[in-house]
Amino acid sequence: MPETPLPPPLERIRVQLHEAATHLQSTPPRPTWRSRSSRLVAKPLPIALIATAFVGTATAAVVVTTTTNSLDSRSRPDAPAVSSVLGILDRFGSDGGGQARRPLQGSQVRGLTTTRDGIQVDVATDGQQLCFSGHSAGVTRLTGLDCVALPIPADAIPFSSGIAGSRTYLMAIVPDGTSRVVVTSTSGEEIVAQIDDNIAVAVLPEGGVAGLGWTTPDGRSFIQTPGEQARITSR
Amino acid sequence: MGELSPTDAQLLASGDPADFEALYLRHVDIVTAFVMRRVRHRENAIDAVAETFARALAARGQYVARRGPVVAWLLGIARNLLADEARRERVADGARRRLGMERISVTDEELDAVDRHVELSIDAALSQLPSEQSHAVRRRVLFDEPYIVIARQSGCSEQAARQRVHRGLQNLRTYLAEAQI
Repeated sequence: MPETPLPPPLERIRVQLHEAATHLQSTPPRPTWRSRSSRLVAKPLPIALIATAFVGTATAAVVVTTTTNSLDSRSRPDAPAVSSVLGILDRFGSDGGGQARRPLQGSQVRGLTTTRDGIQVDVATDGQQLCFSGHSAGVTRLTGLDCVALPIPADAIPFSSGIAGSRTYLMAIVPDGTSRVVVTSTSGEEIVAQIDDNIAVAVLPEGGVAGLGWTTPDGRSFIQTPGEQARITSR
Repeated sequence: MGELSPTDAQLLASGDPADFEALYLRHVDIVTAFVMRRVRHRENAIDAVAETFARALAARGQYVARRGPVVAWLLGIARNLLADEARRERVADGARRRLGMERISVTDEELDAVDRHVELSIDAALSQLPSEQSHAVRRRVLFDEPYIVIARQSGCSEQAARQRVHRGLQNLRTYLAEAQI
């Protein structure tokens, strides 16, 4: 701000950060599930979306940026619906060797649209990747299209969040047996996400996402907070 | 107030030390003001500010723009640190240790100077906003007052209070960028 010099303690932080940033300059950021999944996207095409309306009382503009790929155009609404995402994941679960048991053929894509807590979650898979995105009332795209490789690892669940008005919507795709998906908001609230058909959805009435925790089928608990990798908190 | 150029997200993502420094200068005052009003032990404030930016630097590749603005991400990191500080009576230093940053010792006089600096700086920034936005941002962000209380005392609806804070923060970011670059 302002052209006034920083007081000494803040100036010392500036100097230390500059040195640390210089040291890191040649070091690429640590990968996360998100960056890993982005490498799996076959033909990424950046699309900037600006949604200016949201059904309900909120009137603030929602601005989202996303990447998409060939699955995007088929993720909705013309993808043939299946009974549940569970069915999709079962079909492509690991056989122990990391290979899909019964992959879809060629360009087949199967998808599912489900509505939960006022948002619509679209999921589609081609057997190699699973992509999902969120919309509000079928109008506003809350999140970009996120894609992850199958099978989904229990210790790095894919999630995405979008903001509309004052509310933050979070959706996560969880492997079978995942339990207690808890979202902590920046205002300190803990919201337990409802899990149904491998889709976990939570609505934060206030604040952004400060952390996401979940328990894996083998009883391990993980938490991911901004600026940190997912870490195990109990066994 | 025009477009931010470069944006906070661009500064964060570039990997250029000068860009991260510019981001630091853009937001250090509001992060410091936020921390100094919430920290349990005043002497921990500078630790919390340093660790917040160290975490942001270490995790610069993990910021996702659609989850909110960079300043909200920074304040989220600070809020987590302060929650931890309240429990453990100290500020975590993991990111600083990994980055080779040393703990900064401060005197009471230096903390007083920091307090005065951020107060003046935030006042200057808020004075650029329409008064209702300035009022709402100050009460919500700096003093953590619930929207319903802000609304009641401002004679507006809770939704209007939320919008004032939202728009005020947007304008504040633009002002901070213009003032810095």
